Amino acid sequence: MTDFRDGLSDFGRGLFEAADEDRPAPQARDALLATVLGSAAVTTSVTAATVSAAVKGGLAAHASAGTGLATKGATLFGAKFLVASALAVTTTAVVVKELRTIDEPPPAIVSTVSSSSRTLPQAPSRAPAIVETVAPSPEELPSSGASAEEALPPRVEPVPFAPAPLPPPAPVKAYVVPVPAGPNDVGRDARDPLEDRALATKGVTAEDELPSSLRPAPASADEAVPPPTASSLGAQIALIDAARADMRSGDARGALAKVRAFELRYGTAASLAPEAMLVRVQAHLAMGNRGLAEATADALLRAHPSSSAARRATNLVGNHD
Amino acid sequence: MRASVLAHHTFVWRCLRRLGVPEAGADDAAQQVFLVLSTRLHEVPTESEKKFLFATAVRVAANARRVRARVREEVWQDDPPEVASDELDPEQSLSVARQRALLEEVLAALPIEIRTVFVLTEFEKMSASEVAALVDVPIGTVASRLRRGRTLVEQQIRRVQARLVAPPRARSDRGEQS
Repeated sequence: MTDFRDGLSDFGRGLFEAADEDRPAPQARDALLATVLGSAAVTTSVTAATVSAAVKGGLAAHASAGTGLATKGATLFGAKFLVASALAVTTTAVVVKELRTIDEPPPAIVSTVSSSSRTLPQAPSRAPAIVETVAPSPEELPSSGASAEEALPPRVEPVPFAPAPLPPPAPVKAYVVPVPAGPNDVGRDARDPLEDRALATKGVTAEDELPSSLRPAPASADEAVPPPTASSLGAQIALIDAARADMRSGDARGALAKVRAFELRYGTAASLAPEAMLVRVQAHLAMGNRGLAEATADALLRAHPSSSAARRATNLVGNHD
Repeated sequence: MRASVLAHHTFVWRCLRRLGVPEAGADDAAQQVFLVLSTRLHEVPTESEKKFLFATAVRVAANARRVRARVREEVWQDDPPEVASDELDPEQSLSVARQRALLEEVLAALPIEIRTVFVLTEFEKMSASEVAALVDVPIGTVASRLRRGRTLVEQQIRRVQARLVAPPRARSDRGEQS
């Protein structure tokens, strides 16, 4: 099988030799590592931050006694809700608020939450970096004219691997209680009003932190459509923030790559999709692709006419004349 | 995930290229492939990652070829001139980019199942048994596809070469007659 090229003309061999030299640039692999590992790290950090966020909120309300199992505190990003989590032994419900910037929690509560977190089912060693199904590809801009079918990423079902069995689910009950934002909102990032609004509409509970196979079945058909998980939302925010950071540092291409990764992973219907499209507009403007920026801004306005991202994108495009 | 990228990135990238993804889009396509793996990492045994990645790359490349045929995505706007030029004299030193474009023209004539076997064997230097394991077909099928692929490639190379050596006048005459 190795002598095929020897039978070719010099012209033919030249074609093959040109292909032999065709290799990716080292920077491409580094960028890929940054993107892929970044997203994996985000998921991990969000999971870890969940426990800390429960502590940081510092609002503890004691619930009635009884025997309960430990659970993690759930994360809310809008600071509009409190999430109560049942804790071990004392069945204390800890009402928490999520804070995006995590500082060291109060010692007393730290120990409680830390001990309870150890009772959670352990994730498999090759835990998924992302739990969502691959969403429509961002490769096709709205202006491209590509059909919806083309916009879909490849359906990948090449190898039907059976996932490893997980431990049986532990009973978990969580409560979502709306509360107004107060002076305890330490560490909030004032740059994310859109995220606040988008996330405030989602009730995120401790159950969302569990693997899907361990979550209790929904009580009714209406509940069968799960909201985005806390880890999903956290990962979305982290990707958007990373793209913004790239823009601030002048790396428009890097920002575009992160936006593509975001849209590939979460789709254009994700909670923070308008923010992703806004970054795409900014990146195109920075790269001098005005036509693409305008097309993206138009698409954003059509898809999310009332969003602040759409207004900002429209203003950006208008002001860039 | 890091180990997967380090071990298979070059392989995935080169396969994407030989399966029809243009150079300017190969990085994005490779990223797609690994992002798909990241979504299924918990399901894919380590020893099967390469197989999974290749199967994913085949699908990503097919999608990329289809999209590229109809739209010009922004990351591919700066494509090198990969369209084979009829004005090219094969006696001259072909630019590497044009050689690769001509090779793509040659490989594009192969059915995808033959192309995958041909690419893995002739460009990635994999053995028949390795290819059989990767594409999940018997070794005999690999051998027959490879034979067919070699025959087609030889025919296509001769065709391209004949077209390039034909004087412009002759090409023009043929065009007028047709």
